[in-house]
Amino acid sequence: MEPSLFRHEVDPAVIDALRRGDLAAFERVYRLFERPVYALACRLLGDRDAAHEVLQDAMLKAYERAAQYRGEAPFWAWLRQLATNEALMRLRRARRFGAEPLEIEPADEDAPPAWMLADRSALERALAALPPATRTVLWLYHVEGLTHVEIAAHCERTVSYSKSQLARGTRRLRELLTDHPEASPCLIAPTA
Amino acid sequence: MPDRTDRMNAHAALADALRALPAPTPERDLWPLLAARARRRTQRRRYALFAVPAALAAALVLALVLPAALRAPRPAIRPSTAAVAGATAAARPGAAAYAAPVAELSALRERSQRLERWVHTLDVGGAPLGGRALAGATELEDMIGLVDVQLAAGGDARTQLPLWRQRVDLLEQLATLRLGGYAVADAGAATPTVWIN
Repeated sequence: MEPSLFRHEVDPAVIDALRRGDLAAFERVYRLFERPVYALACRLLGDRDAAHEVLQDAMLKAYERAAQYRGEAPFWAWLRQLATNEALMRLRRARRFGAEPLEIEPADEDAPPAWMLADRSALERALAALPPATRTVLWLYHVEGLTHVEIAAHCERTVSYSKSQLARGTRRLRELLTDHPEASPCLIAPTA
Repeated sequence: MPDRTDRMNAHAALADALRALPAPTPERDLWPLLAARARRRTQRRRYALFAVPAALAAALVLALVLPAALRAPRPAIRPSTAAVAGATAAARPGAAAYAAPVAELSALRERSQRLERWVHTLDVGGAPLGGRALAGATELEDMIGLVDVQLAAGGDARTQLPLWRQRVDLLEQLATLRLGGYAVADAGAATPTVWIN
């Protein structure tokens, strides 16, 4: 299993310099985390322009609040938290993070998981077709490895909400990949 | 019915599939823009670190100097309303009893006019006020308006004396606020009572 893109160790001297407002240290941090922050924002928001804004705002917050980083967690985890919060804030502002009812849909769970058979572009399309809240929970849980408790805290919801969104997202992905592999819009064009 | 192991495998397979997706990369290098924003914010922060103490010092000096400068032509330290009332009651009625209040009244009027002109000059040529300062200035102007209404009702020197004192005090506060910093205490000593952004 590939680790999260965020998992980069940062030299403590660079963090110290960042705390002092050193611009060169800031550039080093930016270069290291530019791609993970942007990728996370893209996945959560499904919008490249908004992801660019999140990248800038999250990085600027990291620069301004570096003095508040106490080193209790890895720096990358702290930065990922800033980026996730920034992206979720945008979803909330755009009212795209509403309380979506959990639909109980029948699914053929005996069949092999569709994502094991689907190609990457089909999975991209299916992911992009999910509601933002569902996609967010799915991504944070499976890719970033956050627990339901952590996701609930990020989303300002309950643990049950996180669990139900995960179940819903998994089921919906299976449906999209099984029944309508070509029907979903491609919001995020993959780049090499 | 799939068992727990099957479900866990399915979840792990989904996690693998999602992680294997190519990570989107920014379409352009945002660093130059970000660096410029960071520089601007740093400059603003440094400016604030310098400007706030400087403004504080300037306001303190102003608060110390302004009352003395404005009160210089006054004939005497003004007595309190109670002292005026007591002195008037103790003295026999006549021209001498009213001489002091009338003289002070005249000085207060003159001072009020001078302050008003100065405040007007500050209003025209000064920097725009921030939110809190603007609210404070509006409140002071309203209070001056109320005093003016009472003064317009007429009355003798003893009735009008406290009103003119109040008007002068309010104008002093308004002038100080326009310059930013502290309100000037009533008795002439500068007291840092109100901090304005």
